[in-house]
Amino acid sequence: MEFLHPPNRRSMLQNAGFGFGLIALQAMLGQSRLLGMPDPVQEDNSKQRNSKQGHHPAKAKSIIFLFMEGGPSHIDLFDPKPRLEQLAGQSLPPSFKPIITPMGEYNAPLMPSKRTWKQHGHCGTWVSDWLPHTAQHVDDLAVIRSCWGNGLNHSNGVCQMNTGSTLGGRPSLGSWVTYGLGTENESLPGFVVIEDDDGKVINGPRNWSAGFMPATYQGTALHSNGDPIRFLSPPSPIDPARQDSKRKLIDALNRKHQAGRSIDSELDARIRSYELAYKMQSQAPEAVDLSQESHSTMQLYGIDEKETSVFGRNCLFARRLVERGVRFVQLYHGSGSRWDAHSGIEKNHSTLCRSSDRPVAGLLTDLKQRGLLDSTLVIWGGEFGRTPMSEKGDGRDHNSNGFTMWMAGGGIRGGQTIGSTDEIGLHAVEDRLHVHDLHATILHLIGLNHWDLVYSHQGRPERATQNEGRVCTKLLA
Amino acid sequence: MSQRLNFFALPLAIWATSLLGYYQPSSAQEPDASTKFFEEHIRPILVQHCIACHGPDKSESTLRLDLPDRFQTGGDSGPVIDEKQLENSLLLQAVRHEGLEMPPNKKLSEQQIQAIETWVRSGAPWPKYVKEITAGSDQDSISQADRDYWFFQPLSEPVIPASTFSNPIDAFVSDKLHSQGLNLGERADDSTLVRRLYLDLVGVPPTAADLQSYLELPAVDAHGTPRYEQLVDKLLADARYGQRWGRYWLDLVRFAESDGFKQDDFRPSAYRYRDYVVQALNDDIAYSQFITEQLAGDELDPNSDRMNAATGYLRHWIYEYNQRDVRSHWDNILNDVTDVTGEVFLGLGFSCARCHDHKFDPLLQKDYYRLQAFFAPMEPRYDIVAQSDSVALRQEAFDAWSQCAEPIRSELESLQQETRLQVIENAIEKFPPDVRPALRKSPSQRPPNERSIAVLAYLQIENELKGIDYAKKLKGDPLERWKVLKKQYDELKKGMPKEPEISLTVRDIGTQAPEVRIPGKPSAGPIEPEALSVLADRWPVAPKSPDTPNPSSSTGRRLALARWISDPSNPLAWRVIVNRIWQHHFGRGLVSNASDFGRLGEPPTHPELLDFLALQFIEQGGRFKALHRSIVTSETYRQSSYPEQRSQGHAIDPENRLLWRYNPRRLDAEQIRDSILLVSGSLDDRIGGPSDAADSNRRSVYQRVMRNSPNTMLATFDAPDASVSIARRNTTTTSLQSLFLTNSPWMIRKSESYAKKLVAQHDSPRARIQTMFRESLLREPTEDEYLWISDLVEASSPSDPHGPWADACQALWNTSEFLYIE
Repeated sequence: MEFLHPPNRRSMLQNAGFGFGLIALQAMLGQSRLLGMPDPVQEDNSKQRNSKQGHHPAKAKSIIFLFMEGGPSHIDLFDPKPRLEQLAGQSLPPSFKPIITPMGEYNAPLMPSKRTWKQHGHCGTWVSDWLPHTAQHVDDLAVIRSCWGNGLNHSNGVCQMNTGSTLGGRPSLGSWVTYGLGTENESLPGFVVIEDDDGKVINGPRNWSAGFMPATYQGTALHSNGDPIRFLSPPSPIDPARQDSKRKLIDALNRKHQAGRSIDSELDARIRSYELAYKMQSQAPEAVDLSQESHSTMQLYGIDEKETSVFGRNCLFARRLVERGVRFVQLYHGSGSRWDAHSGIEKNHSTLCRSSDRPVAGLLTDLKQRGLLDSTLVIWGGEFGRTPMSEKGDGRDHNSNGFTMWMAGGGIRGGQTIGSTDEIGLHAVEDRLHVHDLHATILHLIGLNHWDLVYSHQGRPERATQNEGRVCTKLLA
Repeated sequence: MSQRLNFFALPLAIWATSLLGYYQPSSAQEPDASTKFFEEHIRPILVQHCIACHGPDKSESTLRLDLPDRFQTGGDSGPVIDEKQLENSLLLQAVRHEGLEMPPNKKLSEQQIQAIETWVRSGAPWPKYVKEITAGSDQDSISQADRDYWFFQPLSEPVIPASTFSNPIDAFVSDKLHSQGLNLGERADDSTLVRRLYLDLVGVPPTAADLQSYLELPAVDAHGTPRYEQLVDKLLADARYGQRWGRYWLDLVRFAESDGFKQDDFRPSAYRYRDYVVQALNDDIAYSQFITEQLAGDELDPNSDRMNAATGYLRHWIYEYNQRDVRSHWDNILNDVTDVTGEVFLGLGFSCARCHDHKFDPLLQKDYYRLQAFFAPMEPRYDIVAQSDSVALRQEAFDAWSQCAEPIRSELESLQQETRLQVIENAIEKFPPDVRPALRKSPSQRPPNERSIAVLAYLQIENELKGIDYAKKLKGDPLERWKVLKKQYDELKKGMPKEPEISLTVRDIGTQAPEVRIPGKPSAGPIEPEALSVLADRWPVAPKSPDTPNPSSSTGRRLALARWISDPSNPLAWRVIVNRIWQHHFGRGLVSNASDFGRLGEPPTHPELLDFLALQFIEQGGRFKALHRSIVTSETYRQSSYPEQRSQGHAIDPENRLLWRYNPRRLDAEQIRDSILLVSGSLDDRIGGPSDAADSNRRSVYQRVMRNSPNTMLATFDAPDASVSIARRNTTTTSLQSLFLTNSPWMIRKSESYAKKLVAQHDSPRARIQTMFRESLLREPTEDEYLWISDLVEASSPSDPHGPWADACQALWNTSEFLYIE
């Protein structure tokens, strides 16, 4: 390519603003207009870009999914079973359909909960003494006691709770939501996942993978230490001016290459991807910078206490991300199946409830006082619940046949308890909600119809709920 | 009776002209027009109007019209066809209601009577494959339109449009273009073409020297071969060809080297399958052989290492080490193998039919289980030792050691025996009650349906056995003796040679297959292995192959399936595979859903070309290299990405479906990684063998594929997660890619090592810039590019002489020019 007006060599790298400004390029190329070149002025207005209309109006704009990984015991937290007191020590009566338990203690005795139970709030929702802080919010919660799924083990269960299928390969719910609604802030990922400090979630990044959808919709892991997003900055600190020069050189080479190739919008998208990466470099650290938060906010989340500081910080990140337009935030608590109390459930659940209860309650309080709860759907739960039968004397095995989750905020009718399990908490019986039903309802709450949300994969119309699922209208406000 | 007539010699056949559009009797294997006529016109009449009274339920006048041989012998009134005087046949009199009146209540329509007349005049031929005609539900759920769907028709030899092109591909493509007022675009320039060809065929760009030597070649060599064609042959003969094209196949079969699920255990010998694929492509084995070895290598030759590696195809399913519900687990495994096989080899999305008849395509739920029935007898094996030379040496050393350790080991085992049995019994009790009885039997006593389920259960039981602490379980004298022996054994173990490698493969459980049933539909009865219903009439699966090499240990079902899929008369596999190859050369297939040619996809953009390529491929013995050669030497392939007609082309056909230019595309994950390794001078080009656990400098195809912890760079650039079959990867443009390319330690390391070399080699900045452009972008820098980089270098701190050069070359590897093929 011939330049009619060769650029002044100094001015090119110095004066070009980020994106190697349009004016500089015009001068450089001697053209009055560059086909297909983005207007840098418009680009500053990246908020709202790529945000799509849902299928119907919805209150919820964002979702925070608090994933208690490993399977919290519903019968020790939200679903009291007095009948277990009477059956304590006996094996499962024949009137109950037996289940397959992964640990295979087939004749293990039934074990009642050791908790103290109380009704809370105006609505009188039952919560055990393990979750005193959450209990104060029951008037905002819809507690669903009749969830069920197909995952016998963690891997199946976590995979299904994320993707609808017990087997890998399908997009995560967060991917479906970002596919359906786009993002409200292009400078941050639309679907963010935060794991516990050192835990690694079962199945790894597969849980937030976009499956057969483009990687654009996959979840991005956010870290609270170091780089919040992988490769956000170079491995060893580099002089910012040097980074800047490198970036500008890439931009100049790419723009020069693009001229004459304007029919390929992908080349334009690649140039934009560098601009977005640059914006992300400033926005992501800001999103996880808690120095701007007040002391009382930090206290609210329990960041001032050793036991609650990790999850408290993560919950606070979640609020900050939602405030900044992130569509779907998933927080794992107990990453690496730490809720998996096969033995010693007393110690296990005491510790985990202690470390999560106050942060979760803090998040609800904070969202509410900032007016964000109405537009944020908060979901709490694990991949399954636990058996009323004991395991190893003082633990409980996996139970995906009946377990509890709760939802609060955007579009949810709080202060109610939906569905029930049988009298020992083994099987969901009334208002049974399969994982597909939960997903259909979550999608509905954020404005997406699970029948209309279709992605064509290898010619087949694929849906988040695999052509199943019903919206649970009882949950809706 | 004469069964085969020259159908087209028939006088005034009312239907014949309409058939010409579909069929030309080009090869003896294809169903000819008489078969088609029978299926379209005669079978429906017999089913709807005749066999209720002259069939299995009633055979009035002892006449059966449902069985070809009984049709021939006739009933009480003698044969229905008069072979000497066809026109006087009883059948004609009956349907015309001349004397006999059949059907008795309602005369057939004029058209139907004409069809019977035509049929009888041609000798009333029955297609050979028809053994009986039933009024079963298949006939109801599969319509004529289903049977007529283009994909289920035989390959037809198309007329090559007249053109000045010598390569028929160009004739077909330009013909379509002309109809839209477009032409083939002009050729891309030499260096663009050479770069395209290298990246496409061997997965990396040419080096600057490669390009230079090409440009210095005479346009045509002494034999009259153009240099471009010489290069094509050279690259197809390059070992990197298999590494490149094998990767596409690995995507399709969801190849991985780990279990998936929670534990995600490593599969140490999975690489043997990868090496098999790469080698098979480099050896250019016939596609039919490639199919057969993967589906049934063990049935061809169970003692062959190569076959055992090939049947690794049947072992790529995910496995959960602690799944107590082994029955469902095995079902999932069979479903997975069924789904993948349907998509990969047949180009049909079978998975919909697992739970119900496919809503759009004639795939019945029964068909799903028919396909599954071929795999039902297989059993995953964990005891087949790999036999290659290097491993065989290991085996000898290991055997020698084992012999030496035998006395201690056997005494140890007898001491441990009681505990072991107790642990096994306890472990069995942890499985669902309905599974336990089979686990207590010896493998040979287990019913066929429980064999593979027991294999899965015993993998878990083995794990428990490994965890026994005998020091705690034994007491008294046995414990003391055990301690002594254990110490000796552990001492011996220090000198134990590496255990021989186990092949990841399968065998059939024996000659008796387990019964396959449709879940929840016991009334459907046992399902036998067979072709899908829409094809079973025309192309049934031949029963157990008479030449099954190991009839005593195998059902031969998979071999029968492989032979059916790869039969040249079965059109599915051939169209599917040539379309895949086309797709990878052009970025998009002639059929855009490469693994689903059903109605949900789009019809082919160039149906004649598709059949032409398939037939040519069959004629050339199913050799991939010949197909590649024919494609990449076409003018269609050699077009510029930015031809002069681009504004017109873009306006008429923005997606370039008609191929008025060469689609530019981003390099895929492996191409990016391998190109940077090559250009930066760090590529380790060792071929084959076990994968590298940590990120090494070998080509990407040799990086270990762990399902739960994918290689970050490859995953960032859309490499699949190996859960399901992938026919065409997504291509995304994300800011995370930009972050990786600008900031990742990997990129920084590669650019720094390159910069060190560059700085050492050349003193002058100008020479460095020039070299960097030549090596990375295969061109000279422009004056402004010299200036930009000089600026960057001058502005940098003098304390770091390599830094700015590393930045500059890293910038080149970030450019679209580097990251795209055009």
